[in-house]
Amino acid sequence: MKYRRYIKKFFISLATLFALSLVSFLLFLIAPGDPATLVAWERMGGEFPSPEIVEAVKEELGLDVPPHILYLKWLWMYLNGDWGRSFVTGQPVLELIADRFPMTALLAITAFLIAFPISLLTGFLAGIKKGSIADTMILVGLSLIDSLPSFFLGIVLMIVFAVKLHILPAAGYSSFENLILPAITLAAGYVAVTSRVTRASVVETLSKDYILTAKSKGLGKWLIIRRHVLRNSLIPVITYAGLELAWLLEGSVIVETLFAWPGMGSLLTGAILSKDLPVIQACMIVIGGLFITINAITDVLYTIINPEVRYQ
Amino acid sequence: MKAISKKFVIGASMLLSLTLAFALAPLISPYKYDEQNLQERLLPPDSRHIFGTDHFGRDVFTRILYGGKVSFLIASLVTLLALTIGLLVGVVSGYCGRIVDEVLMRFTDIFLSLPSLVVSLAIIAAIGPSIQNLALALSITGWPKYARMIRASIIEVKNKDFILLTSLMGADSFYLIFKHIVPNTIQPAIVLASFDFGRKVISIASIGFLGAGVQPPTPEWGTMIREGFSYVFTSPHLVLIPGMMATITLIASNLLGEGLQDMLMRKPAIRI
Repeated sequence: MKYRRYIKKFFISLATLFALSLVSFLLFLIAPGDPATLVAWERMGGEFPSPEIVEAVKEELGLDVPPHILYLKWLWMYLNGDWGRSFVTGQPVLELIADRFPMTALLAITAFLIAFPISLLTGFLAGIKKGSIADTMILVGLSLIDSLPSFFLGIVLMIVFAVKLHILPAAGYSSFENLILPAITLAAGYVAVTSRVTRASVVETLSKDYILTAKSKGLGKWLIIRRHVLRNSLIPVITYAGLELAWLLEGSVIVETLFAWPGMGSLLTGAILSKDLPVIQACMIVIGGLFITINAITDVLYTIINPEVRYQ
Repeated sequence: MKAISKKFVIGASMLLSLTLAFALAPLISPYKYDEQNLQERLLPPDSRHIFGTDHFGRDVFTRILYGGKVSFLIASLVTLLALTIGLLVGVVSGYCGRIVDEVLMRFTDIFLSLPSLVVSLAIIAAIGPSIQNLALALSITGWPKYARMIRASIIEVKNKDFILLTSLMGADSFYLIFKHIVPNTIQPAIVLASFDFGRKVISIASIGFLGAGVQPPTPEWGTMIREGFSYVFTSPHLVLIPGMMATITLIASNLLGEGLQDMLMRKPAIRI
């Protein structure tokens, strides 16, 4: 039953996606104020709509059925790519998301490309030189970074590089320079976690018996590190790298809002302030769905590269 | 228990002095948090207003104190609620085992694998921004970590000899759970809660910054940053000071957690 684990993981992820869709759908039901009234109110330019108009809108939006039917209808529409229209602008939600998503992906991937090599480098250095001054400095630095909330780090970077030094733009998306500050802000939290995981993993690998064997065979230090430590300590690191990648998506909500980066995070913030439920739903489903998928892929990857888990 | 950890002392005294300052705000500050003075708008820090004034001429120091009180109250409430729900789910799951455990843990896993900030934001968007709703949303997304951890330590304790002996002596489940199992599993949960408190203060500030948290005119650090953000070029103190306070709280809470971890736990390395 080699594939049992994968099949189980697949169904758990499917169940989680289902739960996500249910939670997103429930938003509509628990929201005070009838969405139909809200839509009618928007359309009439702020005038209070008569009950007939509300009924008409209800029928037009297909809201006049019991909740469980509504859920199934809604799910079916979603699966068919009909994600509804924004309450505010009337634009199809799928279009809005398709518009914004690449920007979030660009930001998250850039942050990852900055953060991952740095995390590996500092983590390995600290782990190999455990107890040294370099190790202590790296550890202290990492806990400092970890204690900086992303909005604060972002504001400090903005004030230093945009307001005082004038070398980078504070907000917007017109050029490559606009990407730098938000990507660094997003990368910081990632580095803080991943390099500590790397360090811990290196330290643990170094304490294993096979390292002692390699040493007693008379292998040189760097050869041991290259041949035994590097590969073996990468296993937990990859798991964390994946999990943290999912967190980058969540972190982008704050970073994008701060730097006015037109991705899904700032779309979500805007939608929350204007109570634009279809957009909130879509953002939640896309961010949550990616989050769940990345988690599942990471888990499978971990099983593939780690024989200990595979043969359990 | 090992000797008192230095980190614990530093973290605890930082949090205590902050709490004391927030509680005694009316005695410390001569101003009211909503006292406007349009002649003295956007003043930089000086001797009369040590943290300067905001765009309504309100004293930032006073608002920091009252805002801290709001943040700390919500964060304590949320941490306590999340701990309680997690304790209930974890105890039931770990003690009953079998199908109950399977169902509860699947449920917990589903909650754990949803992005908590986004879900909290969505809940608040649906039910409206207010202090109660903020606390509710953060508690709903906060409990699964506790449930997982408490379940794990319950299973560990459950199979110890002294539990078997006590049950052989005729103790009922209720007595066993609350007299013997819970006290032996609560320590890791308390460590997690000390880390979590700071994180909750940050979540509250983040949600406030996004505009979905505590609503003006009630002061809260994130909301203050949001309001001051339009003046970031001319009056950076409006965003830097609340941000600094949130950072200090997180550092204190991390120190408290690490210190407690050193003192209470045999096994290192819990991460949230």
